[in-house]
Amino acid sequence: MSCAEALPPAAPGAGTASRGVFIVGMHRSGTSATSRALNLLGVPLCREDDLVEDRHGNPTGHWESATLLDTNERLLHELGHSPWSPPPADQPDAALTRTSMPLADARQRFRSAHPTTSWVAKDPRTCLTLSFWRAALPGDHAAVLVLRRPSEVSASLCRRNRFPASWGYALWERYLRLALAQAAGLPTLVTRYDDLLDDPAAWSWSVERFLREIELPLGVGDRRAVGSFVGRELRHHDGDDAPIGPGAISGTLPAVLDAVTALVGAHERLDPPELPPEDPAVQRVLDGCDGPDPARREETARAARRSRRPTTIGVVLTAAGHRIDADGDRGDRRALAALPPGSPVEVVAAAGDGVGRGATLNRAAAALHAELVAFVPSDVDAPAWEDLREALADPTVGAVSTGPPPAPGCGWVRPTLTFADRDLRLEWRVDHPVPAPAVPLLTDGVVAVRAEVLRRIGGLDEGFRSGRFEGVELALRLWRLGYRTLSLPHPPPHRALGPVTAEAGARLLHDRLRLGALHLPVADLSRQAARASHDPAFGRAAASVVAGDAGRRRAALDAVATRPAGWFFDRFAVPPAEEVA
Amino acid sequence: MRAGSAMTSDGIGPSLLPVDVATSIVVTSFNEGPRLRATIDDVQATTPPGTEVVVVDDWSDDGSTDFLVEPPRSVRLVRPPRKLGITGARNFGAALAGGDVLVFSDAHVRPSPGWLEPLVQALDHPGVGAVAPAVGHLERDGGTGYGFTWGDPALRVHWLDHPRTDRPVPVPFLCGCFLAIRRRLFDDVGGFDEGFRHWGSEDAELSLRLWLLGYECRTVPTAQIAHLFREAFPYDVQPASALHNTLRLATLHLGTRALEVVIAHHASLPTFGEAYAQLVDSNVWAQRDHWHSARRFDGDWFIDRFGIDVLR
Repeated sequence: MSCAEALPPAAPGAGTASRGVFIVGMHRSGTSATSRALNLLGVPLCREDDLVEDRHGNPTGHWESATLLDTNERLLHELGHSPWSPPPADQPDAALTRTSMPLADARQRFRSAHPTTSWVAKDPRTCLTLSFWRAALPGDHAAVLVLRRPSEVSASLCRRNRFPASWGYALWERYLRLALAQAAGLPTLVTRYDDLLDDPAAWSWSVERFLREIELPLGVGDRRAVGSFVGRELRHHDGDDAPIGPGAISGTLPAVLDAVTALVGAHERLDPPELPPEDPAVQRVLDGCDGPDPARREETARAARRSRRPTTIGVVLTAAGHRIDADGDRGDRRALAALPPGSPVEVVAAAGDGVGRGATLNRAAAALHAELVAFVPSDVDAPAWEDLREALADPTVGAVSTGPPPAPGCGWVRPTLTFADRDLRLEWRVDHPVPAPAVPLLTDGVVAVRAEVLRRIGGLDEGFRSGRFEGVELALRLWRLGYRTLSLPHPPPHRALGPVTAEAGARLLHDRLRLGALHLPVADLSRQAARASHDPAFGRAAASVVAGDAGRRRAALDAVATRPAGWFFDRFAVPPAEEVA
Repeated sequence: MRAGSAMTSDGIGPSLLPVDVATSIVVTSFNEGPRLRATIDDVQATTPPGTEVVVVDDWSDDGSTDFLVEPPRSVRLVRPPRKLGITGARNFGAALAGGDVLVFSDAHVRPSPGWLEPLVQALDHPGVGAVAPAVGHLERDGGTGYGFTWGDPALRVHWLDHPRTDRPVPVPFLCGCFLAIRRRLFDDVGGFDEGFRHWGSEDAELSLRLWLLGYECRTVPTAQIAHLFREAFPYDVQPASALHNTLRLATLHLGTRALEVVIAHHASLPTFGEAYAQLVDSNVWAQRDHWHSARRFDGDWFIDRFGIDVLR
């Protein structure tokens, strides 16, 4: 799969207006079921390949867009917040006013995932970012605000995430306050999750009426399918009948609950009621100052991260510098030690040169059907698999590779792989302006990436020829798409590199030129070409680059990247190449 | 306007052009001084009354178009909203012209009497894409060129000698200084490629594109013009842009081996890096993909067809 195919510059109908419904509501409130129910009533979801696959906590699926989720996570991350540490209640427009993500970029990403003229988009995080989306997606959209008793939400979070009860209540109140403030003025249906479960037919009828009143285009719907979909098993936790239990310590929670309950029904334009100022106890709980002790807080944070950790690992085992049999049996399977039992492994025997390596690795990765894909050379020791999973639990991390550990006596000063200059020659440096463990480039050790991220960004580039640049280009592309790349200390490969032949040198030149064509800004590209043009192999290499797909991939990436071509080289202080005399 | 003919010029099939075919002359001009007026006068003197002349003033600042404030009959002065360069200006004028045949002319030419009829006749053939007259020198004695080919890997113009016949003959490239094409075909093939910067190679690209799409480019020896071949230009000719255009032409239509030869030949030039970067950052890949899927022949066929050994 090419980058251009995976990240189309414009979705069909991107230039035409679309109208949709935002499903908002606190986590564990039935937003997933509501999203699916609206879909069954004829409102399209996102593209099928964009649906979040992870079903942890929701056996029938989350019915949410990975693109929307990822974008919301990035917005929150830039704010210094997270779904479990939401922005303050008195800053409902923080996601719009205090983030740098270009609205056009978010719009293009959203429409690429939601190409239909009407859509339903669900993510509880949208309670915290709706102001951003209203600006990014101009049009007469609507909201469905799903309510569930705070006691049930708290109990569900306690069961699934091991959150203390007070935290669940605090989150409920903060989420509802922010959702109400940001939905002001929107056509809004405030609905109870209990109503969907108790009488799906009546619930469906009321929702259909709302959708018709707002004149949202509907496809073919099936109310009976909603009934079939909804079952008692969807109630994630049967809490006690009291809507507020003993864990709630906010004095303003009852008022918020009463206010939103009174809003149940359809609103032509939501006019949120005036709420009393939030009890400071809410923020104390969310700060962890009043409730769980620090150890418990850390445990809770780890629990939250565990909920996003990839659960399955797949390995693409690659020969590195020597051949292995197709069944991988040459005795050099040390790299697979301690791999969780049952993890799929695809063995790839490298070609004599590097031509086609990217395509081979992509095919192997696609065959794994695992949440985490690890590209593992056969000449490395086994990595700490749990550390890789932990690192990739952070949605801002695009990939992790293993790198050399600190030298003895040098503490955390670790060599990192970067570019010597903007000719794109690689070098190891020990002083890099990036806080560890984030690094500019991925090494040629173990490289781990979430399968859904790899798929979304189009996989590895398949146009390199030396076998040395796939990971480098992947890192560059991830950084430009807004991700980070990390390095975990690990013993270096047991690898001896032979002399570079003329043919191998020509392939390296080609790959540097290709990498430049993909990622260098024009001025640096000019200098790279001028300096490389003296090489006897330049004519052939350059012809192959300009006649290939590098230009198409460059344009496709420029259309969706959140960071421009020169950002990486400025950010990591890669000096310009010297001018040609 | 010409007398009606129901058949093509070779009598094979019905005429591609209407009986009362209308011709529009699109003259592009930038700071041409008194030559513009001379060109318009000569064009009008050698065409039937009422022949449309569209003068595209690409933001001249030498007063050369002042005389067109009250233009002669059948002459229109148009100015694009911003400076477009030669390709954009020609396309701009073509869009405003109404003729069935478009003749693109520089603003420093002198057509000889009787040029129009043979050119229009030569266009009335389904296999012919564009035609041009023989081109001589305007201000000094010199040879006459009958189309051109490439003489070296730099893709420099090498003018062709008289074809030893008065009949129209196929040639690799037609000079854009004076070139005629059926209006409908011009629109169908997308006009001049506006990815070419400022000046250079745009005429060769149109010619090559037509050949690869299955049309011939022909020189008509019985039609003649004189053209001012300048040693100094009244505008900046940016070397990097001219080299970019050469690289763009090669990238659009030539095979990898020929492209390698062109790049290797130019790589040592001081402006190469800048030109290469302009190329990579352009839409050349999209245009290449488009034309490669639409064409009938490829660049290697063209090289073989005309024996351009310098690119093998």
